[in-house]
Amino acid sequence: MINLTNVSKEYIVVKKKVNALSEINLCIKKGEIFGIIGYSGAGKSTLVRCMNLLEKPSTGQVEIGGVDLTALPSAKLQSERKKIGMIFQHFNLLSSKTIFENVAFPLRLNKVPKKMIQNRVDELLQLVGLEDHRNKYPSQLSGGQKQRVGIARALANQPDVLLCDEATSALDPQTTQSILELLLDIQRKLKLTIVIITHEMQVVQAICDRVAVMDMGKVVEEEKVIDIMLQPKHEITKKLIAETTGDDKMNTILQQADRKLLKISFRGEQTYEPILFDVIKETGVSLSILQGSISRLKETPYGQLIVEIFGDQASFERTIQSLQDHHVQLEVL
Amino acid sequence: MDWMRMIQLFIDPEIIQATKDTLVMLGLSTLFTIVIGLPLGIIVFLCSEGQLLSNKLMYTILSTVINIFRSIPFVILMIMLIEVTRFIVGTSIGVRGTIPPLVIAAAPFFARLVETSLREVDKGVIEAAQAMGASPNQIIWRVLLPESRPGLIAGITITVVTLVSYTAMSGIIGGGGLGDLAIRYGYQRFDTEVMLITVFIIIVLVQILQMLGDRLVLRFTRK
Ligand SMILES: Nc1ncnc2c1ncn2[C@@H]1O[C@H](COP(=O)(O)OP(=O)(O)OP(=O)(O)O)[C@@H](O)[C@H]1O
Ligand SMILES: [Mg+2]
Repeated sequence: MINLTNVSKEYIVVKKKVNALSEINLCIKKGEIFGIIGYSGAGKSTLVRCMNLLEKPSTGQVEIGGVDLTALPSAKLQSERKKIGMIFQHFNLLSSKTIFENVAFPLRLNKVPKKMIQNRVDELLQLVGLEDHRNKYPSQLSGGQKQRVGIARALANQPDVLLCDEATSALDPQTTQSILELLLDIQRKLKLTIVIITHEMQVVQAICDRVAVMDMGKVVEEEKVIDIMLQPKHEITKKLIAETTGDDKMNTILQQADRKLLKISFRGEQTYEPILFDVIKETGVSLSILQGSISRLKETPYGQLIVEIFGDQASFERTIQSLQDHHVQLEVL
Repeated sequence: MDWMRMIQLFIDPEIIQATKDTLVMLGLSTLFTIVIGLPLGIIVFLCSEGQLLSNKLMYTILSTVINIFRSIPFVILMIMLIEVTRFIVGTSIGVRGTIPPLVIAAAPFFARLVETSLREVDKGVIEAAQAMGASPNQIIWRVLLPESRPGLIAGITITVVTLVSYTAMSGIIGGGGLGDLAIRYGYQRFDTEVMLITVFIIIVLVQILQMLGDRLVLRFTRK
């Protein structure tokens, strides 16, 4: 659905080149929720703004729905953009227009007949749960409500793609949750392709199918969310995950030598099965759990335990064998 | 000072005519100032750095021209423009002869105010419109102008009030209206009552205009 080929973007700041993006290759499939995560300055906004050419890439190709946007003249680009919705961190609503008019705005740009605008806006306001606020002005709404208006407006032209630049970063955790649920709900109903920019792993965990991790203008890792969570490879990814789980405290324990430590990862239904109990029964080994967490990624439950095995090398290996028989993923620390 | 005469002067035909003339000059010059200054201000804004038509050369040229007109005191500009005025409207005196210098002085001033209020429009909102596929024309008419409406109205108010004082000044070169009266009677014949009455009417006029402007600004402010 969205294909980026060798996309680079450089800015000239005080006669010096800044490589905001270098050689980005991404392939986002139709109907998936794709996350882009990274620390501030990594180039996430630049990347998403290159997708609808708000920012023109210095080199490379941007293709959405089979159309090469980078090759289009501006009038054609304007009409392609109507199929790409976008929502923003600071909502960017028209302060001089009512909620109704804000949602109607993209339709009016398209010269949709009045009667149809009326129906469509009503439908959209209902979808985002703001029927009662249609005649208010943006300044009279809360942040979460403003973002709902932003979402309704982005969906007005029935786009195939929705781009979200830090759509929840200005909101509190509870409101964030409700906006994410709304996005998930919309994605299911409308079969949209959604790209979500964020610096919070929780957002990725909550709704994304796949995620790209960015650092210094490059994509350093791109995986299914569950794989990234259970087997992060790049340092930046590990750091981002550690921040959400509070894993950093473990490091002191892990650095102590000659302890027999295992990291066990469960995914899917096995998360809830008594695997550890079975293993102990089979091997008679004695162990203690140093850290554990169970969580959900969208619908998939997953869990991760760090355990210490007491006993000799033989019983350690027996334990590993037994765990492998139960098809869980293992890592010796 | 003769109070009875002051009161009678309110219904003096010459004063009433002068007031009417001032209002006509004010109305017409405001109209033309907006017609010229608004598009000029929009173009200057669009040409400035980081905006839709970003064009450094064009911006520098327009900005310099605006600055030149704004730095010449109105009295001098008015005298400098006598020939130009004759060419445009056929005369350089009276109500007609006053309007061109008024507009030429006020339009660059207003354009600058327009540019400043457009700059206040949230850049994110313009970007959102671009992301929705709005053309530059649609962005001007449906985003920039409505979003900056309170600022534009405040700008018009300031411009009209400035124009009131300019119309009075134009009396020096026979411009007609209240300023002309104040100079002919008050300055040349030491007629204090007429002078005071004209000043009084001008003050009232400014008050009314400012109040009206403030009300409109309030009415359109949604922030
Ligand atoms: N218009 C610009 N001019 C010059 N440099 C820019 C511009 N926009 C972005 N940059 C630079 O490009 C890099 C990436 O910026 P970008 O805004 O994409 O980061 P980000 O990952 O979105 O960060 P944040 O989480 O803070 O929003 C930064 O180093 C930034 O300074
Ligand atoms: Mg950003």
